[in-house]
Amino acid sequence: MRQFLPTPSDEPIYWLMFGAGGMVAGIVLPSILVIMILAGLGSPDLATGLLNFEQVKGLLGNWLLAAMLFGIVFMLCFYSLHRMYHSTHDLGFHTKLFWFMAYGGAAALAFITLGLQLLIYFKLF
Amino acid sequence: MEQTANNKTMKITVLRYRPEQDDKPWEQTFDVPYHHETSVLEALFYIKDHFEPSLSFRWSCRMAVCGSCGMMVNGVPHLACKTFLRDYEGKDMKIEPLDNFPIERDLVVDLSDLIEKIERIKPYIIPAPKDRNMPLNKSYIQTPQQMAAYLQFAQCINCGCCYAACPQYKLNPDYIGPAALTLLYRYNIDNRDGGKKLRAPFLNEENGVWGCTFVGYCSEVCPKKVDPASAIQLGKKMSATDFVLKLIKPEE
Amino acid sequence: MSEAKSFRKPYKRPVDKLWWLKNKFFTVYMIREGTAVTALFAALEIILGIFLFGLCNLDAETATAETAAPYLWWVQDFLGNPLVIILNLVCLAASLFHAVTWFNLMPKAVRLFMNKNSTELLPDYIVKMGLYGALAGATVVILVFAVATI
Repeated sequence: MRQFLPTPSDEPIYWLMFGAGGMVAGIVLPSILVIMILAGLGSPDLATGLLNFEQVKGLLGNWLLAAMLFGIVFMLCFYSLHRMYHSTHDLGFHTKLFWFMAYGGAAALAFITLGLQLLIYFKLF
Repeated sequence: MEQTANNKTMKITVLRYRPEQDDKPWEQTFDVPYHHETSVLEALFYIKDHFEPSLSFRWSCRMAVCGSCGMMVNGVPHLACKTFLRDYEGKDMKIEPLDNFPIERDLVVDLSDLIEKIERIKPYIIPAPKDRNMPLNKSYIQTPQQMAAYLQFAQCINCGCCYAACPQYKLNPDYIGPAALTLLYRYNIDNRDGGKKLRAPFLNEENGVWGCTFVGYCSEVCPKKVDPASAIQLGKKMSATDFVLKLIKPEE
Repeated sequence: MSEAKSFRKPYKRPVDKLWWLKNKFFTVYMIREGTAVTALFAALEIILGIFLFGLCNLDAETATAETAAPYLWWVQDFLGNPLVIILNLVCLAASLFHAVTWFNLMPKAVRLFMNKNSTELLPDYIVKMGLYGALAGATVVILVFAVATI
């Protein structure tokens, strides 16, 4: 008797990235949010205060720190959209459209961030 | 049961469904006397003996071994035999058949989907090619650690509580589900087993481990503390490892 | 097949779209999943900041309030907006809730024995402590680094 076996899912790639992103969201995101809140309260300008212009220039102009920032943003986008895609399923919407929206959106945001960061990096040096 | 010490009674509502007469389930309420040791199963016996002889429910061992008496008690999957009325003191109780399964009659559900899924993942030891011709009187050697690796996952009694607790099974009945995936993992990590490849298609598919979103309620309600959620996450790791290895070194 | 007539008429209960409101455990699960929205919001904030930084005139010899105007708008007016501060506080709370739920579930995905011969499993609290330690460590390192590089 010939058995019809199910095809393997390609979910592992997304799951591994989701796992890494979930770690970032749990371990790194709280302190980033604290910094953004403090910056919002401190009203920094060109060279004084948390997240002042010169500080961010140094951050985005350092290849290692810029790469880490990109990694964090990319992971956060991917993690959140992956989770939101699965939540649409939980809420009863089972459509492939949301699949394209979620992963397409995550990829688009990643490319935009990468492009911006590269532009800034090469403009600075 | 008749000689209850302090004559406590509990209002118990049971979901009834008689396929010959009814088009959909309806509720029937009884006042059941109980004492400290009365289990939900005994309360159902009382109802059957004193009020409603036609009430149907499954039971066998009365000691949480057979897995027949799974039912929803106040919306939570429980084994009726190891759930006691004393824990619901001062409240009303509502007993329904296990969620997510078709109701056959009253509290009896049709578990054939669960049984088919457990069969599908080949829940038995499949000898590796090197053991294929091992004589029947020769035994496999297993260290205590190799046994401890799977023993917890082997405690499943197929009661179906985890399926009733699983929202993903509710939303997608094709999902293989907690108990079957746990058994799949249990046999895959057994050192006597060599059938990993035969089970891989059911592990790796969309309706296999990847149908799970780690709600974790299955482990919460499991009467045997099997922890299906853990087995499924470990199964995901197994499937992801498979996936990456195939990317690096494709077969054939 | 038997010739006997079947009287079976299994009743399939309809799926309630609001199943996650019927049980507290499921509601917490949906809130847990919902924290992803706040993580996306935080990521979008950062991307907006990078975008506005890119709009600044970076070729200028010395930065002035004029050449850095877009970035200064982001950091002063946008992040300083009370509504955004409140949203960021909500995001922070959600992020911590996510961290707690994530760390609580993580031990289930780790099954290691204490040593080569032991039948004792690595206790859950060690995995959890490691994760909370990582959270505390990362927070201290990032905050100290951010303040030190002002």
